[in-house]
Formats: sequence, C-alpha cells, structure tokens
Amino acid sequence: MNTAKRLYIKSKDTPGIFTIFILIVLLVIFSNTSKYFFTANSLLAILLSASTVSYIAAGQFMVLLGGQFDMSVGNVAAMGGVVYTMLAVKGFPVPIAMAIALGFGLLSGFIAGICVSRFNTNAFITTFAQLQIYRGILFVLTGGSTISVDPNPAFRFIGTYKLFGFLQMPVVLMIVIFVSFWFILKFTKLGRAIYCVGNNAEAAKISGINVPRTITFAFLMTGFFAALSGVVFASRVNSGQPNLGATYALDTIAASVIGGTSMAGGKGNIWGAFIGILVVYVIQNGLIMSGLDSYYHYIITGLIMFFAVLAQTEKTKK
Amino acid sequence: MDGEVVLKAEHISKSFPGVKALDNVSIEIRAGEVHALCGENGAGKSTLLKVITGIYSMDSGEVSVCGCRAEIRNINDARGCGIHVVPQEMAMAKHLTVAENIFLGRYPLTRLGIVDWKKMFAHAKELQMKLGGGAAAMNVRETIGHLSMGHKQLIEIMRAMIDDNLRVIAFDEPTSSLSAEETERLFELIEDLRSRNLGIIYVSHRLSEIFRICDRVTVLKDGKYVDTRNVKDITNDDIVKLMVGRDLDLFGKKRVKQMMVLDSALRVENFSRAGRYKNVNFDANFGEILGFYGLVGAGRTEVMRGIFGLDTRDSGDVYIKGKKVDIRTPSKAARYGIGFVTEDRRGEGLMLRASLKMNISMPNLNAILNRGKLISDSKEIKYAKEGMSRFNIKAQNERTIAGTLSGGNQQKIIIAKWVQANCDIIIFDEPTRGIDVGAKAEVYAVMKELADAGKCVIMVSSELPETLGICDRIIVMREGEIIADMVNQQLTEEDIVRYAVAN
Repeated sequence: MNTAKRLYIKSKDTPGIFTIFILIVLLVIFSNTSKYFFTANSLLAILLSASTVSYIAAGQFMVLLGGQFDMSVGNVAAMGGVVYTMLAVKGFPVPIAMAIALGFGLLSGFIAGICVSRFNTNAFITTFAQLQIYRGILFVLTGGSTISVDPNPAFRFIGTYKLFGFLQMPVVLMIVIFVSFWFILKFTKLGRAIYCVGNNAEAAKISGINVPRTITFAFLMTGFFAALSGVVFASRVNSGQPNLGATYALDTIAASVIGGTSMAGGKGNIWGAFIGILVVYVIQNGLIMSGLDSYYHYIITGLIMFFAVLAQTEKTKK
Repeated sequence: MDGEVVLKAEHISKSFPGVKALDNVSIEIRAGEVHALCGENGAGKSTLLKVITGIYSMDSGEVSVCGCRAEIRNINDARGCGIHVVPQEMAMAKHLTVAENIFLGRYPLTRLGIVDWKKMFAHAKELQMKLGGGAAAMNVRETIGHLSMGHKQLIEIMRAMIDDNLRVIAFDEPTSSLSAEETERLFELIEDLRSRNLGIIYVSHRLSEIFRICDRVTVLKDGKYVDTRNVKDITNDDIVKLMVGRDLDLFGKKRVKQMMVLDSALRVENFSRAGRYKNVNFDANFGEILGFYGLVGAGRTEVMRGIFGLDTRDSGDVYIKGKKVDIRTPSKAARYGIGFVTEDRRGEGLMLRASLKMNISMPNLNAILNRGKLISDSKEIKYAKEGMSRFNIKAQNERTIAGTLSGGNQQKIIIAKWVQANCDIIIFDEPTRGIDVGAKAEVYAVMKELADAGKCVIMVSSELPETLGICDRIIVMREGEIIADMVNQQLTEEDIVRYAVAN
C-alpha cells in the first residue's frame, strides 16, 4: 500500500510516466485489434509517419516551454516543402534549394520572435496571421495543386536514404534532433534561459537573462524545424504539397500537453513531448490498421489530452 | 464595546493534507467593535476567515450569527447571514464600470430579465451616499481601469453594503497595497462602519494599525487559539510575544558602526526622469545599510529601477567604486555586482514553479558551468546548497519547488541568489512586506550580516520602525526629490515623517 502510494506520488512528479503508460496501453490495445500492428515493419512505419512531424513537436515544445506557442508551423512546413520542390524543378542545385527553404523557416521564426518578444504582440494572433499569409502565398505559388519533380536521387536523399540499409533518414533525423534538444535544454545556458523565461519572464529579466533573445531563439527553432519537416516530407514523397500540415500545430501542441508540458510555460520534459507525438501517431495508424476509420483519432487524441491536462492541474493544486 | 455578539465561531477545526490549519479555534465578534486577527504567516488567520465566509468548509465546529446557528457552506450562504469579506487580492472586472463592479453577479433585472441599468446606477449612487467620503466622489459610470487599490476597496465595501442585513465585514490585510493617505481614509471608513454597529474583523501584519483602530485582538499561532485581549490593556511587545511565543528582539543588536571613512560603492549623480524623480544625488558605501524612506509614490523604487537598468531615465550618471558606468540592462547591472531584491516577490523575484537550485543559480549561470561551458548538475547543487545554508533556508532539499515555501523563506531565496552571484551592492525594495514577524527578524539579521561583511546594502522601506531599527543612514524622498540625507543617530520617527510629508 505504502509503496503504491509512493509510486503514485512519484508518477505525479514525473509527467513522463503518465505518457509512457498511455503509450503502452495503446500498444497493447492495438496489438490485440490488429495482428499486423505489433511487427517490426509496421512499428517502423509508424515511426516514419511520426518522424517529420516530430521535428516540429520538438520546436513547439521549446516555444511552449518559453511560455509562447506557434500556430504557423503547419503552413511553414508546407512552404518549406513547396519552396524546396519548386526550386528543384526550376533547376536549382538541391543543397541551395534546401538552404533557401530552411532560410525561409528561420526568417518566419525570426519575425514571430521579434514581434512577440520586442513588440509584445500576442503569440497566438501573430503566428495565426503568419499562417494566413503563408496559406495565401502557397495558393498563389501552386494554384493549390501538388508540385512533382522528376526523379532525382539528390532531391530524395534526405527523405528516403536508409542508414545501415534499414533505418530511414527521417527517423535518424528525429533521433538526432531530440537528443540535441535534450542536450541544449539540460546543459546549455540558452536552454536554461528558456526554462527561466517560461517560468517567470519578469524575474528572468531582473536576473539578467536576455528575455527577447531567448524567446526569439525558441521561435527560430519552430520556424527552422517546421521548414525542415516540410523539406524532408517533400523529399520522401517526391512532391511539394501546399495542403501539408493542416493539423500540425494542434498535433504538436497535443504532443507536448500529453507529455506533461505546462501551457503556462517553464515546465516540461522533451522526452514527454517525444512520447506524446508517438502517442498521436500510434493512435492514427493503429486505428487504420485495425480497420477503423482514422477520423476517430481526433476523438481519442482529444480525450487523452483532456486527461493529461486533468492530471496536470491536480499536480499544481496544493 | 459591549455590543451584542454578532458572530460566534466555536471549536473550528480544518485540516489540509498533512497540515492541521485550524485546531479547535473559537472567536466571537461583537457589534460595533473592530476585532483584530493576528498571527504569523501560517498561523491560520486566512483559513479562519475563509471558513467563516464559506470559501472553505470546516471539518468540525459551529458558527452562529446573532445567536442563531448558521450553516455556511459557500460564499452566498455567508452573504445571506450578513458576513462579507474584503479580500486582499480584489477580483475586479477592469473593463466594466464602477457600478457594474459593485453589482457583479447580482445585476438588478427588469421584468423581462434584462439588466436594469437605471436601477443599478441609482442603487449604486445610493450606496455611495451611504458610504460618503471617497466613495461619494467616484463616478459610478466610469470604467474602473486604473483606479487605485483604495478605490477598489471602496467598491468591495459597497458590494458588501448591497445586503441590508450586513452584520460582519472582514478585511484581509487591507493596507498592504495602500498609500499612506489611502490608509488614513480607510481607517476613517472603518471608524464609520463601526459606528453603524457592524462587527469588523481586521487581519493585518502591521501591529501599529491594530493599536490605531482595533478594540480587541485575537492571536492565533500554528492553527491554535492563543488569547483574546483588549487592545488598550496590552503593548506591541505583548502581541509579538503571543504571536511567536517567545520574546523577540526584532531588529537585534544595533550594529557597531565603524567610524572610519567608508568606501563609496555606488554614487548617483543628477538622476532625473520626468514625472518620476528629479535631480537625485547620493552615495552608498560599502559596509553600511542605507535606508530610503518616503511615502508610496515618492519615487524611491523608480530611482532604484533606473540604477538597475530596468527603466530608462532622462539624465544622470552612475559611478560604481568611483568609476562611471553605463548600465542599461539588468544583466549589465548584475555584471557590475548590483543585486535587486524587488518588492513583488512572486511577480518579479521568483520562479515559483521551479526548484530552489534553479532559482538560486539564475542570475549567475556562469558559476555552474563546467570546463566545457555546460551546466553541471553537481556544481549547481553545491552552489544552491551554499546559498541555502548561508541564509538558513528551510526546505527539504535544493530540488524543492520554490512556490511551496513560506514568504520569509522565499525572500531569503531571492537574497541568496544575489549574494551567491557575488553582488556586493544589494538593493532591497520593501524586503519585509507581507512576511511574518519571525521571518522579518531573520531578514534584518541577514541584511546586517551583509553590511558587516562589507557589502553595500540599500533598503527602500515604507515602514518607519524598520528603517530606524536597522539603517546606518537614512535618505528621505518626497515627490521625486531627496529631502534629507541623515546619519541614523538619535533620529526619531517624528523627524523622519516631518521630512517625508509635505508641509
């Protein structure tokens, strides 16, 4: 009894445990509803489908940790993919096309960061405005239809190359990105500054932390990794899709919330966000493999978010 | 004074997980008395108030109003019994008018169920007239926007007076954010409410106020009832003794001031900012405690914020150890060794949801980096532990969440973070606001220790006893200007007040 109580209390301090628990429950359920689910191949497929979005989840986590959020990520990803593809079609060398696409992401993040941190605009409205602008640009550029490229190994490298013959590039990138984020947040001054600013920006400022720079850095991360996500996706499917990422903003915020990140900022764990994004995609894929309509995943993800938030409020209450 | 008993709470107990907040506490309030409720932080004053007003439900005990047993399960029950509380943090809808705020949640309706504006404004006017004074001067049709705390209190009191059966009105730390003038007006108002034969509960940390306006005082300690006394029969020290259960020499021994010439730590020349402060010049030395006294709004905090690089100024120079410096951001101020313990502990000082170690290391992350310029957990723990033991911070360990500690300990964390960052000029802005007597004494001891260790301590305070009690030198500001700069020898409260208040 006592041990159980202690474990319970411990689990409340470690949001990760709640998230891992949910992931395991989902894995068990889907292994029973679909005989194809729990195989190496399909698990790798799920990882692959979650991978490109997971870069954004990492960036979104950092912004949330700083007490802000970024709604524009989906359309920044679409812009990244479309720019990458269009430039490749126009005959630009792949590295240059990629650099321009990623540069766009950085610029977008920079604008959001400067507006929010220097001019004190509301992050929701600011990034929402960006989302609208990019949506317009995407339609102007593409007329709303997918842009395909002639087969080109260089273009497809970052999305389809298999490390050691089995580990897909997008998954490799995912691992590299999350490990780097963990490292930055745990061991660098900049990472610590994000925690401090999210916790109490005024106290951080008085303690000598450069608040605008910190917030701008976080937005640079969402911008960059959203664009990267779009580039990798375009490379994987060999086309630029203007409609990519309609659900990315919500999916990535959901991932962080499920992973125990506080929407008030300053509290959260990058691995929670990682497992959170896996949860979202396990639900989507598991339902399809079980022969159910994947639209149910909205309901289930919503319910899990709901409980994750409930579990959190109980923790902060005294 | 011998009015009938309007409110009687008997044998009240209330537990929270792990804490017995109230243990068999009884109190009775008579009509026409101002009854002070005293005790250290955590003594149970607020909990008792919340039980009486239905915000918390009690575990056991009985409340009766005018001799009849009252079932109080929520705020509306309490209001129905004629009990109203004016909370410390007043909840106001700042975009609505004064009248709307008075009737918040209780708008008068027409027969069609639509808000009856005419009736509401008329009724609000009536309440204003009934209350008189500052209340009468308010425009009920104005949005409350930037009304002062004093005005918001008046609105809260008018809220209470909507009910004709109002019998008891409780004030929770009402003066903590009022200016001296507003405080004065509040006291007049309380006198007036007393003369209307209401029972008034007055919770305050400021003992001088209790002697000023209260008739009786009930002291709580650690959730238990200690005693109820007539105010005119006891002294300040008696109350303190009852509160802490021991004799407490609040300010400790007077520091033996070295008679030698002190080195200048901070020199401010010709500081001006339009509308805030004008032509401010002073020196602060190592090894001394320099007090800044003045009424709220005299510009003391603004000068400090200017020195620290938080606000811009129109003109003026800062010299540190004799060298002219250009401080435009707090990070620069910290680099020059200035620390700023701000007045708003929770808003500007602490990360309430973060661990102690993160709070303590925040201003000086460089100190916890290892050779590879990365944050070292073991270095951080050592760094935080040093700070914690140096200031006797009572917490389970360095990973404890700052928000769970008491006000005094929170204040000490903020002090620790600046001292650990090697700041040798430390500015304290109202360092003892809202913390209990025991913690105050500890904060004073820390400040003196810092000065003894050769640091330059500057204290902005609106409390005369502490300014006189611990400062070596006192600067008085009035309306943005320095009026007096005196060595604290044989100064009396009167001397200082005379400078602080305009003739």
